[in-house]
Amino acid sequence: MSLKIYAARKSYGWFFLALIALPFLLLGGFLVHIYLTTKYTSLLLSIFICLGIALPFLIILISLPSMNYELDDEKLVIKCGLLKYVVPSSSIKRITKRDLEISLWSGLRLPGLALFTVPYLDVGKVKMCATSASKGIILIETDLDLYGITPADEDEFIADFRSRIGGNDDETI
Amino acid sequence: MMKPSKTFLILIAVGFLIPFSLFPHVQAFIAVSATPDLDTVAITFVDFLEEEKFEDAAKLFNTKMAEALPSHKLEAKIGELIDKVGEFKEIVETRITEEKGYRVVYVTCEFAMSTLNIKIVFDDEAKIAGLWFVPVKTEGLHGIYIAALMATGASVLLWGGLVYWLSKRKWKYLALMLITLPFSTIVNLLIKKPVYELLVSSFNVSSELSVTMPLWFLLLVLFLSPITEEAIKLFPLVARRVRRMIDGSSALWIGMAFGMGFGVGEIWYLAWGFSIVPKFAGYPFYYFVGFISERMAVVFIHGVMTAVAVTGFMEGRKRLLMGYVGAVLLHAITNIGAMFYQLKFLDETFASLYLFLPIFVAFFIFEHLRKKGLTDQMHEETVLFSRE
Repeated sequence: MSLKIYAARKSYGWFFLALIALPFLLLGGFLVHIYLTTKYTSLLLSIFICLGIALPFLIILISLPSMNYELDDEKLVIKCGLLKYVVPSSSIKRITKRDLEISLWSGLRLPGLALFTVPYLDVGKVKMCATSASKGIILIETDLDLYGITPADEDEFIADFRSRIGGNDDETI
Repeated sequence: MMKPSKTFLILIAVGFLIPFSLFPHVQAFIAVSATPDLDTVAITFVDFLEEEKFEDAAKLFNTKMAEALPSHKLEAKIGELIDKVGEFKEIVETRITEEKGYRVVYVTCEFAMSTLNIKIVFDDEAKIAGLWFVPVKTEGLHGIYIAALMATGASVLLWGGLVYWLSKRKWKYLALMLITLPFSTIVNLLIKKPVYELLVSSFNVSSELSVTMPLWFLLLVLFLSPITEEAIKLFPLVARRVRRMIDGSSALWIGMAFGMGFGVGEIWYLAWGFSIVPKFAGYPFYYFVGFISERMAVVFIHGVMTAVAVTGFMEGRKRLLMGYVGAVLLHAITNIGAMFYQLKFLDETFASLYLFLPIFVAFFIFEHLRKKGLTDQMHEETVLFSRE
């Protein structure tokens, strides 16, 4: 069977990314302006911090529309911008859907977005590439890692995966 | 060959655009840096005035200025000024700006009875072309109050939002913050201040902290705030209605609310303290950026410290006492940086950086308490695929 690409569920994650990036960008610009007028050297650190925070968030904001999950007979590729996880289908032991209990120690987690390795209080560390931080996460369990995704069409994604691999039916615990 | 994705190309473009957009500012910065250090000249001039070296001071004037204000006239002017504002104490800060094409350095100086800006105008050859003594402007609201408002807004949004979100959206915990809002002012004015004054007079030591003080006295001062503040933050537990609200899942949030309310109140108590110091008059709000960030961190730490004690309360009075002792120790650790700054062991930057340690410890404790409070409330799980 051919490769099929599943888009991520829609969310307002982009809004929260922008909400963080833009104020820091504006504050950084404002501080640059003040620094050029007043020459307070103590502002330099604040300027670097502001721009240092704004830039990665801007990069992720731009990458967000590219989040998708590519499924073929041999592997699942989870992608968002420069972030890429390749999960061999044969290594997948279990796929579940559940809500997660968020932890404050996080890679990158906002309302409507979770990326990179994110620790959760109940299931531990999860490699996330999802448009939700904790609600309705599809957890993919392999021998070594746990991945969290949020395909827009979950039913089709699971049915497609099953048809390629084979496995047991749904059960709720 | 690997084909670069669109996203990657966009990233490269943005990565280049931002530095280029900053380039004019960097150029301006380099241009200014290349001019003579007017700050130093201005400070040297003020130092000469302070040391009454009026002839040396007048040597920094350009020709026109030297004719208009020779050293003996300068001496007379300074004499008149000292009569009005008292003895010179210290230079508070310098600020370079450009006015009508001239480079101007404002040297803010503290005198015994007032704070003044010495406005020094420079010509193209970095010679003094104009000199004024102007009062520090206090237009509108004091900068520290704007900073306090920003610190309060940011703390309530960030930490209040976090408590609201993690406690499964319960407003009542945020409302509990209101109870402890005035506690900082109460404990500082009615307990800490009199106790400190009593200690100072009883042991006949100076009220200003210094390394020459006995170690036991310094330890006493270090623990004065933690012991009194952690106790008053638990005061609402006296009310039976509050005690009844506390259970395994709410103890953490109730403790956080009491501590954070205290922390927000403390922002305003400190802001009031700053506002009555003459040298801070006229400082714009952005001068207090450090105050804003420090207070934001401290609001969270206050919350965690009280949460330690309140979650202990869940397990009996003995554990409440242990929790209280834990909170006092965490509070003392938090205050070490500020105390070392007062003792001049640490400069302002290192004292601020030190705050990262208690923040980290507080986050660790907070997560530990949350995990403990999770109990057996596991989320429902639907198995969509299984190998077995």
